[in-house]
Amino acid sequence: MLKIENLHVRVGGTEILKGLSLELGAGEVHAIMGPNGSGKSTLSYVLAGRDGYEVTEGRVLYDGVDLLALAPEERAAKGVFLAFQYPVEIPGVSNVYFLKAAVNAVRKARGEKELDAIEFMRFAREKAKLVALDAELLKRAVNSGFSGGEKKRNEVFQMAALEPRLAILDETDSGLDIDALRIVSDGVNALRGPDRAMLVITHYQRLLDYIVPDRVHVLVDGRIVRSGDKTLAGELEARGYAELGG
Amino acid sequence: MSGLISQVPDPAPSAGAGWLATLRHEAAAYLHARGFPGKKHEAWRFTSVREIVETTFAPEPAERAAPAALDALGDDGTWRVAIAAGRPWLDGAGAAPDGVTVESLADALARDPAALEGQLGAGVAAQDFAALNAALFTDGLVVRIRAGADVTTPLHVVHVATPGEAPRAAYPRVLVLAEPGSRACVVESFVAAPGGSARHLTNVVTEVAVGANAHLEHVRVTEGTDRTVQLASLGVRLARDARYASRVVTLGGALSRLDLFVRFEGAGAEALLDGVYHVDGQDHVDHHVRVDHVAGHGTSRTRYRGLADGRGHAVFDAIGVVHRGAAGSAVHQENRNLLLSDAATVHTKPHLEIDEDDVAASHGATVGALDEAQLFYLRARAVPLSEARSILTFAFARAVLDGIGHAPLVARTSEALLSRLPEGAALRGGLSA
Ligand SMILES: Nc1ncnc2c1ncn2[C@@H]1O[C@H](COP(=O)(O)OP(=O)(O)OP(=O)(O)O)[C@@H](O)[C@H]1O
Ligand SMILES: [Mg+2]
Repeated sequence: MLKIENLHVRVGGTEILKGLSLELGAGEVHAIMGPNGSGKSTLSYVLAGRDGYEVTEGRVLYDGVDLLALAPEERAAKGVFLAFQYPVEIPGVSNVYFLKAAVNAVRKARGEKELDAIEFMRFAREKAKLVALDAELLKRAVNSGFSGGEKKRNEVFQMAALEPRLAILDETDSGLDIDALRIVSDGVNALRGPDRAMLVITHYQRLLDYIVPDRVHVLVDGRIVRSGDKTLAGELEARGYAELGG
Repeated sequence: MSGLISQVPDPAPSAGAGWLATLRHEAAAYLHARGFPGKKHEAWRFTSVREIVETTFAPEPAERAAPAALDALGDDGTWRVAIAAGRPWLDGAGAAPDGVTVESLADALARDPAALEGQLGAGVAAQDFAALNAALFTDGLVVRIRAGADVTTPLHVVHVATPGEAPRAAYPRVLVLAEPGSRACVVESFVAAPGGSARHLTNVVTEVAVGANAHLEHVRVTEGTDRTVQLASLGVRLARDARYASRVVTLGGALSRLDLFVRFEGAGAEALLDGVYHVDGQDHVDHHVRVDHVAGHGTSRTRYRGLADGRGHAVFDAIGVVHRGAAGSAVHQENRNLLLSDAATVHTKPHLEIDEDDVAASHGATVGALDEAQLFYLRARAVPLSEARSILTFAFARAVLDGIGHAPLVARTSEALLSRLPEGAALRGGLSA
């Protein structure tokens, strides 16, 4: 489903990704671990299409299509979803409106009928329940004044509503307490399916106890230096990244 | 003689009798002596009125456009009276809400001129284009909110401009007297009837007196077009412990200029002066706000947000003056602008003049682009770029619109702004969900 080949990316004149390759098949969940600053979020932004990331070499195919040629909204409409490491606050736009715009944009792209206000509210409440998101947060401005954990939960809530084919979760577990981690993981697991794939970026093995990955990759200094099965996560936690070298 | 000045009677040296004759005489004399402001006047540096001053405007004929314009506004739960061609259309308005009297200005002046002495002309000095109005107004409205009245229905004055095939002008004048202890909301809307190809000038003066411990909300909405020129002055006087909340919404116009004057005459008063403006195409919008803290312990907070798109031009200027002796005053000014196109221009200059030690003051202005992180967040959720831009643009402005105390007016002004934004139609209705 996703094929990243020899990806080189510069940010603000500095090369951050230095020949990253990765293949993710339909139905698979892969984890990416790696030290701070190794380029994990850079990878997730490049996949989602953020400006300011210059691809100097390599390519990314999504269902055989050149993903990097698409605008961010086109990628999202085709089912690419990024759960942000740092969700953005948007004062003046209610959470529910934001999600309605998103859901209807995706439905429109899929040739489905847009939901009206009443249909949407029913839909949103259902999805909120799924990730135990306080319904009050639907009315508030997007992420404005949300706690760290509420922001992360809101990302998973959006994911549950948009039902992406390729979900990239950038440290969605950071800042969650144990109960929230469980709820969020259940939400993610509910979305697993033969036609979907997930890239889960995390620092902690704990998340991977709940969302059991098919593969674990170690990203150091812009390259994948090691890949293995789920036991690699435990090994990393015990020994740290240093021993893996570059 | 041609141009705007040709409309102004050249006054004979001896003024007629009475305070009103003196007011008109002095205004006309002022204009013949000084002319209209040009680029050399600091207050008109970024707004050229040359073309307007050189135009010969005919007085607007009294057409029956007012009822149609009122219908076009839809029902917004307000009590309405139209002003067209400088005259009020009181017949169609029905009885004013309890505690309120609304009268034609011409009738009021004919009936009991002494009652308006010291009111008319007290809020806005007869200078620049306010002098033009003082010299030329023939009618308008007097809205009186009786002492202690608590009026829940907003009182809505709808100024209707009907452009013709040749330039036309109207010179309405409105007086709002909120007597002590009263509570009310006054709305002034400026709309243009469809049709016509030539410029239409509305040279309006509104004077507001808020009595001791009275609360007045004043919503002022301009929906400009490429034919409308508005040269407006609004003067507000605040008595002891008065509360005044101004919400100015200016949506485009070939030229929409407002000079807002607020004067703290009694101690302990409060003025919240909010505004939002949007320019696009060739619009030119200019707000000048002057606050004078003459009495002490008053608070003024000026907060304007601007949106500049297309080749539009927005000017904002605020001066907060704290006079000697006005101890305990607080004066705050903020103007934030979104520059949505490279060809749009914003000039902003909030500033303070403080002649007293015991004062809390702040002022600031920003001109910036839409937030890149917010735009990306929306796009990463499949929202197309132009729609994402409009969502964020509207979100920026709604801080002011949401402050309007009457929900149907929040909806109407929101819709009016959205209808001017790209893809705005798609956003209508949903944003409040
Ligand atoms: N705009 C920028 N200009 C210059 N350098 C940048 C910019 N954005 C990111 N970087 C750098 O790129 C490197 C990789 O950052 P990235 O956010 O991808 O790391 P990460 O692996 O996600 O780290 P963390 O675990 O802390 O989230 C860092 O050294 C960072 O400072
Ligand atoms: Mg990161």
